Amino acid sequence: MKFAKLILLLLTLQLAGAQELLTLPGDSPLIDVRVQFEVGSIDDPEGKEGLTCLTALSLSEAGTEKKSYQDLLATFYPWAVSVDTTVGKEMVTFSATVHRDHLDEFKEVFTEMLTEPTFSQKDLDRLREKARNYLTQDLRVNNDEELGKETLYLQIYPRIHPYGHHNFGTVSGLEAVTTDDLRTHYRSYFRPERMTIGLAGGYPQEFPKELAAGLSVGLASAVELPSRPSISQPASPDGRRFTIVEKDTRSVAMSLGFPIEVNRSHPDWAALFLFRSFFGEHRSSTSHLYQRLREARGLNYGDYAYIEYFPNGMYLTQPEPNYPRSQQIFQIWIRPVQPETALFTLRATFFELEKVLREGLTEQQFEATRSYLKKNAPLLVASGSRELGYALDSKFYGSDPFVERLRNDLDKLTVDEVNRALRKHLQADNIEIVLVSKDATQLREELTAQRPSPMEYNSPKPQEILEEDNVIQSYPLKLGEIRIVPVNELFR
Amino acid sequence: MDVKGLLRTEQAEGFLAPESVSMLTMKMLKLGLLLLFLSTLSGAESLLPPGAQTKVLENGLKVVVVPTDTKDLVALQIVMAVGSRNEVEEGKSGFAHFFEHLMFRGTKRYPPEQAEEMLKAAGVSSNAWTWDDQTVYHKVFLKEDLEAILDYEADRFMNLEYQEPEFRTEALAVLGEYNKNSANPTEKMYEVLQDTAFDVHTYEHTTMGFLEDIEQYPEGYDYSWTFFDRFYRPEYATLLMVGDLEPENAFQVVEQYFGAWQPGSYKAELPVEPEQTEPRKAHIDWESSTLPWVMVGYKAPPYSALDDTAAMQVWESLAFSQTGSLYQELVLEEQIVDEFQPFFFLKKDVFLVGLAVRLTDPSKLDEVEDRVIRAFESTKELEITSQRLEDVKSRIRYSFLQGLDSPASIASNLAFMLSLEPSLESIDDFYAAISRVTTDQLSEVAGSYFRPQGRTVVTLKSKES
Repeated sequence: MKFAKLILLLLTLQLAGAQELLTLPGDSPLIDVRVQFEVGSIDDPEGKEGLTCLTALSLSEAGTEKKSYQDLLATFYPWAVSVDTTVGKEMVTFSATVHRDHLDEFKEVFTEMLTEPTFSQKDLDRLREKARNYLTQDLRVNNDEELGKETLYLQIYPRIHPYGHHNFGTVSGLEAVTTDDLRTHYRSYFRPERMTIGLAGGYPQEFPKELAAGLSVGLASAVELPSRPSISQPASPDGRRFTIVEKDTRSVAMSLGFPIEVNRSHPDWAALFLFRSFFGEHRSSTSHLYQRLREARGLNYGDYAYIEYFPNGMYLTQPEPNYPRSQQIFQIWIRPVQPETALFTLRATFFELEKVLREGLTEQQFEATRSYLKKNAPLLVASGSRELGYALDSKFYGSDPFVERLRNDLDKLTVDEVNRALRKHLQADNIEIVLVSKDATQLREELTAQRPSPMEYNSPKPQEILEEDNVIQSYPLKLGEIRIVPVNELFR
Repeated sequence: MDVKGLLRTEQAEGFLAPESVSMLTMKMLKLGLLLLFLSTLSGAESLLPPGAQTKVLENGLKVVVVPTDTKDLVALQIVMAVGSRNEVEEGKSGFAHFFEHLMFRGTKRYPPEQAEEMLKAAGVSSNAWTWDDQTVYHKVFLKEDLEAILDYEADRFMNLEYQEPEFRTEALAVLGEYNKNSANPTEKMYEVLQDTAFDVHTYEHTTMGFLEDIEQYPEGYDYSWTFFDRFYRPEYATLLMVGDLEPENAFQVVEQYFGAWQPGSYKAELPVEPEQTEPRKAHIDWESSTLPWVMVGYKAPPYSALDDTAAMQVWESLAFSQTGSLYQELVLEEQIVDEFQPFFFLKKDVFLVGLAVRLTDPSKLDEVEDRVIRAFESTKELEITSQRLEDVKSRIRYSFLQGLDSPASIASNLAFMLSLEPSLESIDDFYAAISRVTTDQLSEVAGSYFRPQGRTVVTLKSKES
């Protein structure tokens, strides 16, 4: 079985053609393949935002010179194989899991997909519609929470920043992409010099080299290597800046955050990783914010904190690998609340954030979180595919394998170091706040009126909560700029 | 694209905070189910992982242990055969799911803070989900914490304790859950589809329940204890463990902690849905801007009708896969549809099989509705080659093998099947039925289920359009 990977051997080889090979050999009949290119939405040309996304999809979800997309689907169908695409800010990753029975045939077809794309107008039209509808339907219409999170990123990274548009592009940028653009972008960026091949499982010994050879011959390009934009840390927001996204909805979704200099290669990463787990571990009832907002007060369904990009959090219990980023933000995700409790919830969030920044973690809170993370870390890489994904991310950040690195760092960490790191990197005064709400004007008035927002509960509460509520209901919001954005103006 | 975003319904794997399961999010369980399909579809060999063993304790609790060679990891699933199907009383729709939340409210020995502390110290990944026929509590942890976890689980299943104030607060979290789902038009469509297709059976409401009932939950404290007393009994439960385990030892430890659980006597009298006699239709005017959707469903065989269900499963995989002609025409060729979501779920009683599509061209709503209906109702004459049938069986086989990649995924696949029929043998029976499916059988099943009198159509359009 796949998970019976007894040998955990991590090899990084530099092969001819300059591409890299990262292997996790094991004895599983299932082979995980991840091919990653150093290209992402930061490489989209101005006015063609979405070009990277459409180019990547043209490889994984469209026809080749020899086969239509229908033919490819028919080939993969009996093998139960699909090629998935992850388009991030800085990397594009294609991944598949294949049974050993089909590995050689898969290698041929997969190589053909990556090296002989046809870039037909018909495929482009379909993929463009898919990407555009993700922005205009799946984000604007279907999912207030993901909408709030992606809007937060757009507020933090201005349009001129390389991170200043969604990974899938913009509606107008997608519209402008032609099949010629796809060809040019492909030749410039999808090439051996910028490729890492990752493999896990019980593949034959010669397989990695054979796959690498086929891909590097097919992808060889004489075009000059384009330089990539430098990615600077954006300016911190000036004060507390509110963006109210107006749309017809029952409740109010909230996301708050600001840029941080810490990513996985930073010495303070483990300290902040531990802090965010204590304060708001993803989908976990044991974390602090969840306890205070949901458990004690029933304000919503959950409340979490992040130091790394984590799309689709509502569908996932664990983050998907392969969204590595040089720049990250600290983020708080407050799940939708009833409109009448929105102001109180916002105040309670700031109350908790300021309190923890002021007081820090106690020794006991620190130890409990450390114990959790040390035991929970192996669960994050419990399948070969995930382990391979994490290994690629470690390569990007130049860090040791994830579990080993996290456990080593945690062993050395002290509560004082965590508290020092959180005071150094986190704060509550310069922050973007995104609220997705129905009546934006009314919400703005409620915010600016600065009136107390007392809570009314449907049941008796402990004295401790009532006393805290007394403070929270008038807690200073320290309002900065407040903007209202109709939902249809986003991602344009 | 982050294509994962677009394919979200096919990738989620388990939920953390207690959650109800919509038909949409259950796509993933159906995929999980596919993963289980017989690895030897053409033979009589068992698909079950080698060494799987079952024991029934004296109190009626069924215990299933599946040893794997994953060092240190254990996945635990406690499967309760109670879900929204059992909500027979007026005003109580969604209560099984609400109750799932209450199971996290603690006991005398493990008040919530202490339980959280214990689970946190053990690094446990823990959650639960509820659907029509089942409620499943699942955890993954390291073997060294097995006894501590079983002690906690046994205590809450036997000695749950919460007071009315916490109960009322938890009711608000469920409303928050409804709110977070409500922006999505397909959530509403499934709600209306079930309500339209069923008149008296409890499948007329979704697992989340009607909003007006959810708003009344805070008043239901006493009823919640009736619910616990009725259903949280060993005869409704199957305890499944997968991982670094030795079955005999595992049975002993389970017996030690769960042996004192007292059986009950309650059986819900479920209303019998009369046979549908004519096509039904409903329309939703959506308040905000959206592309239109069409959802077409037909009454489908229950799990107990093994051969029909197996044929329906194969048929759905054949007709509505990405290699099927309808997908290729609407999505790839004409590009008038961009979301294409077939559904067929194994259920205890007659439920629905169907297809939901989102249109990129609003003017084609009627046309697409007709074409989807035709795709179902004209398949009686559809030629299914034996090669296509072999392809789908091969797909099912390799999907199954792909599912064996961690104790957690083996456990969630088995748990779903055990929730329908709590025996390992029944799983083999089902997959044997799949392996027997012939092209003639596919035509027969299509002919008897895809008739106008079994059809329910729901359309959704933006009000402003």
